[in-house]
Amino acid sequence: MIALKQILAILRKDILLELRSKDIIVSMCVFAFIVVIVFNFTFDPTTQQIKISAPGILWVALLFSGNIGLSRSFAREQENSMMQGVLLCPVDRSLIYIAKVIGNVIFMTIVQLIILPVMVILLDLSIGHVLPQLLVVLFLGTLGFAGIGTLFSTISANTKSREVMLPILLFPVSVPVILSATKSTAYLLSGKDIGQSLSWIKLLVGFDVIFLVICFLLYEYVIEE
Amino acid sequence: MKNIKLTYLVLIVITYMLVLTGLYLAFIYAPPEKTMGDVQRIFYFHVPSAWVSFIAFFVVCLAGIIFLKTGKEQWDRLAASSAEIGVLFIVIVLITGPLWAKPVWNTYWTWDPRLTTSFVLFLIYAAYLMLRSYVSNKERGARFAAVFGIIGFVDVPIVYMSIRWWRTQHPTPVIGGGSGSGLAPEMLTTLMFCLLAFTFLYITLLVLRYQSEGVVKEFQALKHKLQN
Amino acid sequence: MNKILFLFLAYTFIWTALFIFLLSIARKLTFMQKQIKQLKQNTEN
Repeated sequence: MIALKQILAILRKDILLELRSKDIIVSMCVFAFIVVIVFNFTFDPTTQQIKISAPGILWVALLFSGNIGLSRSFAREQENSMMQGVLLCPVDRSLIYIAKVIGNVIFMTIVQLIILPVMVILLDLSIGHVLPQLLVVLFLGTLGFAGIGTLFSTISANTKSREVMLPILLFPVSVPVILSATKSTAYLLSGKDIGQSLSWIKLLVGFDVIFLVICFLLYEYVIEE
Repeated sequence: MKNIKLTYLVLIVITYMLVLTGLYLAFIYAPPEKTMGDVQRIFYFHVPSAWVSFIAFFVVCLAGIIFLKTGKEQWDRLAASSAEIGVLFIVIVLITGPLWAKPVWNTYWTWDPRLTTSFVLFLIYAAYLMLRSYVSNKERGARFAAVFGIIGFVDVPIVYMSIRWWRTQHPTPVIGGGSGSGLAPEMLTTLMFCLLAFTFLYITLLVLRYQSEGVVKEFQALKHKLQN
Repeated sequence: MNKILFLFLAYTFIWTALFIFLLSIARKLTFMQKQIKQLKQNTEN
């Protein structure tokens, strides 16, 4: 019960901060837009080909903007030594991790909810029949990515060139999550192999569990002062 | 001190002999493969390199866990040395692999699970080495590296599994890999011997590398003492 | 015949890579030992 309250307190702090400055969500959204638009220029948007690459474009936009959001959120903690403040509180280190993951998932989800309709309009996708499943996949992919990303952004925030370090650490390790999220999205959007996408979703759940547990266990070693 | 030096020397000599014998076996003793011809001889050093990089990354993970538990600095040194050797051998794997694939499969690269996993492994441990050099606080950097090394190693089977799922439809090229896949007995002996030789090579390189880290450490301690 | 070239390239790469690695360790060692010697001399003076 107390743990839940502590998590909510940290979460509330992060959300309030974001509501005041709005810099993370705005920069993430703008960046995701740009990625989508660049893809429209680099591929021929009128052909059928772009529809096949749509899941890939969607996830590249989400992951790249997610990467920006993660590095921003920890840079902000560093700038005002806010992390010290949180660490001074009598809170279990692992709870900080949970709160941070939830916060990052929330920010990334908001961006997704903005980007998804834009993608649907620009690429003329039909997602009506699989919308609930698609939202589940988006959530699971984001959860895994944010789970690894929260740990790594804490690490990279303490390195010399943190903006460069985060993607270098994050993307190779999260290959399984990226792969299964993209694959299940592709099967959902193609509308043919719903069964195939289900097995990928199961795999994605498994990866999420593994990564979240490991990162949860290791977080205390990263955050100690 | 003298005894230790002698042990090193013996280790180096043994490794040297083993690798030389391995070369002899690979080039003269083992018969040429029927379909692939002499290019297949890359195999005897390609597979052991993959094996060494795998052990090396396992040691990184193990040393990382022990370091996080005990906080003793020498485990971090061991992990750093092992990671460097692992990256060296995974680069060897990634270079010799395509050189073997080109004349045999007529393509440098396929997105087969083993190839892709090796590539991702290379990316992970290259990131590991970068991380080590990018943290100014030594003690904290060691902890970061240990955490990343553990996650990186746990990631290996997961990456392999996900890529295998991803590429199930793709025909995986037949490599004379695992045991009993129609490998002539001489070839199997050669492979086993090369695996042994490369394991020794790994141990020797690790000892040398670890030792050189020790000298750096000594130097820094001396410098620190002087400044105070 | 062309295939042998690939074999040759692969082996050349392996041994060059190992050699460079050993060389880098050796260079680091000699450099460090030199530095340590210098430091020790400085302290004696």
